[in-house]
Amino acid sequence: MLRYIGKQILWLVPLLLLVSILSFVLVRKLPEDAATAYLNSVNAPLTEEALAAVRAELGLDKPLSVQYGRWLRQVLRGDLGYSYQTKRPVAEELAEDLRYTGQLALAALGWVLFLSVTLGLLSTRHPNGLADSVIRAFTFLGASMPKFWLGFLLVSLFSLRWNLLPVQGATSWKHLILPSFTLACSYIATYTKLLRSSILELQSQGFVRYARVRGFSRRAVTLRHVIPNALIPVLTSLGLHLGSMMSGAVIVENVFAWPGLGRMCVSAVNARNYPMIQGYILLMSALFILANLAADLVCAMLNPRLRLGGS
Amino acid sequence: MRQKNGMLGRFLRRPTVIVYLTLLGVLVAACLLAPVLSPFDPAFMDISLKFAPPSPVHPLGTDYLGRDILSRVLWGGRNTMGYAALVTLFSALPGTGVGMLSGWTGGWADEAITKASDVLRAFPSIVFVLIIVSALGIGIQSVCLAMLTTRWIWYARMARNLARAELTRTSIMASRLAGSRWPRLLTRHILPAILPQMLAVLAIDFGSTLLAISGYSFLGLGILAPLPEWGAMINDGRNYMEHPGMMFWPGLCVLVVVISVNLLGDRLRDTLEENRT
Repeated sequence: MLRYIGKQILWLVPLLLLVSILSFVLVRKLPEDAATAYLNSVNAPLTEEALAAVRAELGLDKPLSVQYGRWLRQVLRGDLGYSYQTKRPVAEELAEDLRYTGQLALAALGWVLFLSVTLGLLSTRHPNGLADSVIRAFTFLGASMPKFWLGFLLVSLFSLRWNLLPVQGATSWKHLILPSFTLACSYIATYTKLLRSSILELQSQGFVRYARVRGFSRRAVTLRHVIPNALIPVLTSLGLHLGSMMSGAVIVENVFAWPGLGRMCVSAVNARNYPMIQGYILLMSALFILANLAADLVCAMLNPRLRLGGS
Repeated sequence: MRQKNGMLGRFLRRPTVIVYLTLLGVLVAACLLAPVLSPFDPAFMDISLKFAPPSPVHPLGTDYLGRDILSRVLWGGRNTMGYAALVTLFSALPGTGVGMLSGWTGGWADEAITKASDVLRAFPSIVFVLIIVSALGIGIQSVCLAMLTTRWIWYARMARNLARAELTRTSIMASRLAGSRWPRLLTRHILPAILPQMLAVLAIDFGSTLLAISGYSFLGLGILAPLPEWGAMINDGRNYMEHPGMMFWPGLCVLVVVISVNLLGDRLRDTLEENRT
């Protein structure tokens, strides 16, 4: 199993290297000089001497490879520089925003697991029945729904027309309901479809039928045998979907003014706040690698062939 | 060839396919004919008429600058669907080519494509967009470029898998024994065999590309105001929630296009599966 996971990690190294070089070059080479940017960020006058001093201080007069090594060491120590917009350490701001995005993602995950299991079970109760058809229509709609539009539809119904939930912001748990559902919607659709087919397959399998024949109620068999087994593919692919969920969160956070990473990175792009953009890129890559590792671990633990050391 | 016509016929005779193909066709035609059909210039402003309700002159009403929403939806569709088609096409063509080649040659290049697509599949696509947008500046060119750099690899992966399955067929073996060299083998035998499957992939990918492009424009990274684009129009409307018409129509168009292509792709896949059994 360790060998398997090691092999998986090995493939992430080139990607990580590529992303780190790209985000390094982004700040150092394009499109304005880092020394000028630095002086602007501290509101110092742009004189020749000042520029030269900053270049020496930041090591900009050294070859690029030396600069990259130095920068990498700083990053590994958690020093990501200062945000041009707020003058605060990038790492500190990222940590704050990450908390909000984490809340959003976890709440969305809750919606996904709860609703896709419920809908999956409902639709397999009577395959091709009324509930199944309605749920199939919903999965189609949900998978095609643009998040930025769904968000506004929900706001105009629940907040403006019925006055049930707040429009924007992040001051109470009520603020979390609409954004997290908007983010979850397309995944609910995907996983309901996935669960429907795996539940149907499981129901026709020997061990499930045997449990029914032994006299256990349908409910008990579903809880004990069907759901746990049907969730395996869902859990393993959730890791794969983290990346697209983070991209989706950017849109959702901008719709609902949710103060997370996605909102921060769009405002950073507009303000040419390069240290923040760089920090966001690195954080996303780190999260991506952790999620991949977690997915591989879960996969390996659930799959006996990998657990026992085969290939 | 006859068998293939039969398959296409069966695909086109499905009632849902007829409905959604018509819906999509009408919408695409309306957008293509925007210069003829749209009652106003999409940029024409009449502040005295801002937030006008639907009327015979402005069938969908006007926006916060008094611009005709119908005209903007039609012209916006040209941008949204045009760029989505461009990105889809230019990722599908090289991707399919590279995929077929790597399926044919095998070896390390093949493994690299498989692994790279595995890794990239889960990577947040917004990161590439941010890198390219901050390096080259905000705009639809940067967004398209960022999408092209990663999207072709799905097609490569798909074409590679399909080509490998085809390569084991006896007809291919026979053609090789008869002396066909690889260019002929790939273009005459493999490509026609995998084309229907690739079209199904293409249809569904067009939908997700369109969602991504309008999403980035909504974020203000892609097509910029005052140019009409469905995502950007929704972004315009967010400050005027009490006039939902500004957001409703462009969003509905995105939804209709994406549902149609997803459904058509799904049905095409179903038809192919039936054909196989």
